[in-house]
Amino acid sequence: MMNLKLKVVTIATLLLLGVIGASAQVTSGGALAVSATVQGSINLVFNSDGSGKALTSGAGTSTATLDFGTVSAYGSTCSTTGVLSGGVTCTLGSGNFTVSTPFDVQVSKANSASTNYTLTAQLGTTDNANTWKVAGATVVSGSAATITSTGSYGSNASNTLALTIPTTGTGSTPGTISNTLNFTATAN
Amino acid sequence: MASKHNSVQWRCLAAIIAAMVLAGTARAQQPTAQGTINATFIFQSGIALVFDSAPSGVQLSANGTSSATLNFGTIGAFLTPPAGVTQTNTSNDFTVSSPFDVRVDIGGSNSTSYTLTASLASGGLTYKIDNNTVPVAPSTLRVTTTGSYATNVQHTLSLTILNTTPAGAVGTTINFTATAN
Repeated sequence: MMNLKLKVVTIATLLLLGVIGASAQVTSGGALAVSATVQGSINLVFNSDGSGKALTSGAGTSTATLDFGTVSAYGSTCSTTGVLSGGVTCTLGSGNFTVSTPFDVQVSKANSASTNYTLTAQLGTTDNANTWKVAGATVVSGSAATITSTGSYGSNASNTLALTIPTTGTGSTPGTISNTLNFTATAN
Repeated sequence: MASKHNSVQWRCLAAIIAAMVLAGTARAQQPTAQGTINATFIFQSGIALVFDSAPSGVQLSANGTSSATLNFGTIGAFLTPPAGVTQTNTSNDFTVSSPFDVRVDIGGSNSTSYTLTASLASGGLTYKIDNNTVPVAPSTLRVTTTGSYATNVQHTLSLTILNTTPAGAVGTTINFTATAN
């Protein structure tokens, strides 16, 4: 009887150990600390204005091209209606004419408490013959001109680019006129 | 007188000889003792998890250990991401991501694969592993159920930041558990 009890106890013990062994999961842990420093930033892109000459290329980016096309003071509709094709307007002046078209600037912000921005523009190459203006501000190569100091984030801001070309004297020779306008948006 | 002196000499000599014999006998009979150690141990199966830097990702701090750090560095919606970090933008947020490796080694087991789970120690931002959101503990994400032992298995960690999130330091700890299948 005692031997039978011992056998029963032994078998029960072995079964219990077997169950414990089967249910014990083998695991290993690890901890990966993740960190980053978020910095505020703004972004500037150009877009075609609904009323102006469509950007030739680069709409929605920070590098765009605007081609006025062929312009002339006389021998075209400029002298009669003040309107050229495709959203370009022209105005005859005394000894010059001005062609202009609106374009949009959109500045977006992220992770910043800034409420508005300052926009400046500077001519890439000196042009002593023609006059470049953006939103009425004369843009030259020697220094940046302030276009606005209260720019609103997240929306297209329409700005008119105007180019005044002399019809007489220096710079009145027909030909290709091109330049680069460098814009800088600074969060206030 | 001479015979008495000789007798003393012979007794001394005998004593000396006897002492030498006894010393030799003592040296020949060195006491010894024996003992037995019955050594036993229980060989238990185990696995070990470590993190490693992925070749194209951010370099981990404490690489090769079970407690490492992945620092994305300075990030911004309109900034160029640091080396090893890729970035995607939407109109409302931006996501940075980096690959990292997990290695699990095993000993004393017939297990052929492992299950890897992960959970965040604290919430706030969206963290994903292999494009699956990591929940806050006690919930867990099952990263894989077919992990291979003894080799670096690459995973991708991503962090999404809303454009409205204030600038500053962000982060959390992701706790991983590997379980032998």
